[in-house]
Amino acid sequence: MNRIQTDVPGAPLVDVRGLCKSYGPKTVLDDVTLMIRPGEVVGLVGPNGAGKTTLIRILSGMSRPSNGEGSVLGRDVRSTSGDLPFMGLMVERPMFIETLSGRKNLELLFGIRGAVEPTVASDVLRRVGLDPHDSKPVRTYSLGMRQRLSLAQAIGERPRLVVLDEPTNGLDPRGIVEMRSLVRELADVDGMGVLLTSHLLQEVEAVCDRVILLHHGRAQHVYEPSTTLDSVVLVLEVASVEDVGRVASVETVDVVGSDGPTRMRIRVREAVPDVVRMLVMADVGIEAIHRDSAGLERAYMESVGA
Amino acid sequence: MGGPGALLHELARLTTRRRFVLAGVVMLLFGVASMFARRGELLMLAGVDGVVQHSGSMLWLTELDGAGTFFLIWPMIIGGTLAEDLESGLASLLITRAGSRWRWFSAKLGAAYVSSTLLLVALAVVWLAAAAVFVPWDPSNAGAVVPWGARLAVSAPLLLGLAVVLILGLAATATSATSMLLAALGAGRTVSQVGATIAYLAFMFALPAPVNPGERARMLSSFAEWATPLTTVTYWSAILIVGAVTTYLLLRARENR
Repeated sequence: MNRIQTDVPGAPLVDVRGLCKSYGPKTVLDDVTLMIRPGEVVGLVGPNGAGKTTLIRILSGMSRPSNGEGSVLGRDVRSTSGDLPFMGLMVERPMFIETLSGRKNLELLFGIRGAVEPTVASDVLRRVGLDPHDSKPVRTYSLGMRQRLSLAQAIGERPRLVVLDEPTNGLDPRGIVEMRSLVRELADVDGMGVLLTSHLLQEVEAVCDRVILLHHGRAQHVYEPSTTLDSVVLVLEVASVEDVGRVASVETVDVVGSDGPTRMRIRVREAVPDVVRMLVMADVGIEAIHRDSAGLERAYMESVGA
Repeated sequence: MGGPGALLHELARLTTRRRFVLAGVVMLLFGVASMFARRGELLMLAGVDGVVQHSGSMLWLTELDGAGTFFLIWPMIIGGTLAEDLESGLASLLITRAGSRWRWFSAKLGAAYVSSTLLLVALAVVWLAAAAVFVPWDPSNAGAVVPWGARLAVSAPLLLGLAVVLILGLAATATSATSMLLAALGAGRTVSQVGATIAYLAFMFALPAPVNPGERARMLSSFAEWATPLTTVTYWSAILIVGAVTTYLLLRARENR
């Protein structure tokens, strides 16, 4: 077994650097670095074919990187043989034994790792919002119920690291909110490290501590919602951009409109009072101020070059 | 980690598949119908009439041994779970649970063996019962079907029955390894199930005797006259091991290609 670091509490669950993966001449992952600590939710977003699945396969020990180093749950990321560490995996297309109930499915899956308390399946079903006494076969489940069951199998055995691939697929708005809250709870209360992929950028932004934007196999950008989520947009009453004067030259300010009302985006929340003071002193009218919560979306579009 | 639990999970997957149940029912009905169609042979006493051998009440044994259709359909059912795992990403989920690829893969082979053997037990019991309805128990010609079974049929018929289903279960698992091999090669992913079936059949019929389905009427007595339970078991074990190891290596190569 290739253990390269002592498994100590608080140590990164995932600590990989410079991961590359090529299939022949085609490079699908190029110099990706990633760290996930206990209690942290890290998002992984990118267009289809960006390399997300390949990265997940490497982290779960299903594929060997062509290059790079590091460890996942204390195991050398370059090794795919021998014993693999257990992590909770929620795959994009959950498959179960269709003729059995959700609870029976969980009991069989949990049994693979050895005997577990009979209450574990019931408890986790309740936690994800499914009825543990429901004896209906899984084939009658809606997509949303399947997603919940898939999450239950991923977290039921309390793994230290959970990988959730598109967990909100097929969920209704209420389900999405519940899923978001549950993912945060896994990190904040249970202390799990969570790697989450989704195409729903707002959801990723709302739940993740950090987001990695992957495009053409490269980590284009690391986005931290806690520092950039609350950027502020000021809609100003000015005749021309020049009237904004020297405020526009402040490092944390972007002037984003030239026709109609000029818009200024202040990227760092702490800079807002200073910028407003400067505008008032320059006698620039402020028509409106609002928060810009589409930071990840913008970063994503910039990152993929759209 | 990944021992009995993984086997149980795979077994539950296999035996709850609609096509498994369907195949079992079809085989049972086919066997009973065949018994009925050959009732003339059943009613005759065991022996040789010209060049035709009659096995009398041992016809159940002949039927089981010659259940070639069963051994063609069956691997598609068992191999299907591997294709499913690879297509859906379920493989990573199960492997990380089992702790290693080998535990995951051997659970599949184990489930193939257990489910095959259980179904064969059911077939043997029903066919034997069907034979017993028509004629009294007459094991004197068991050797015409399975040379090494002649004495056992007289001295310990239950042991013969057990040996038969255990060996046939092994033969079924060995052929199922062939369909897993196809799944590992990507047939299950890239072409339809029908396409995979055609590829599988073409592959099987291209094989030399006695593995060729057209030639291997005697699954219980491979190597003809000098066949013993040991040589038969060795023969099917060798096929199983070659199929399983090749499949496993292919799976590993697929991952890191």
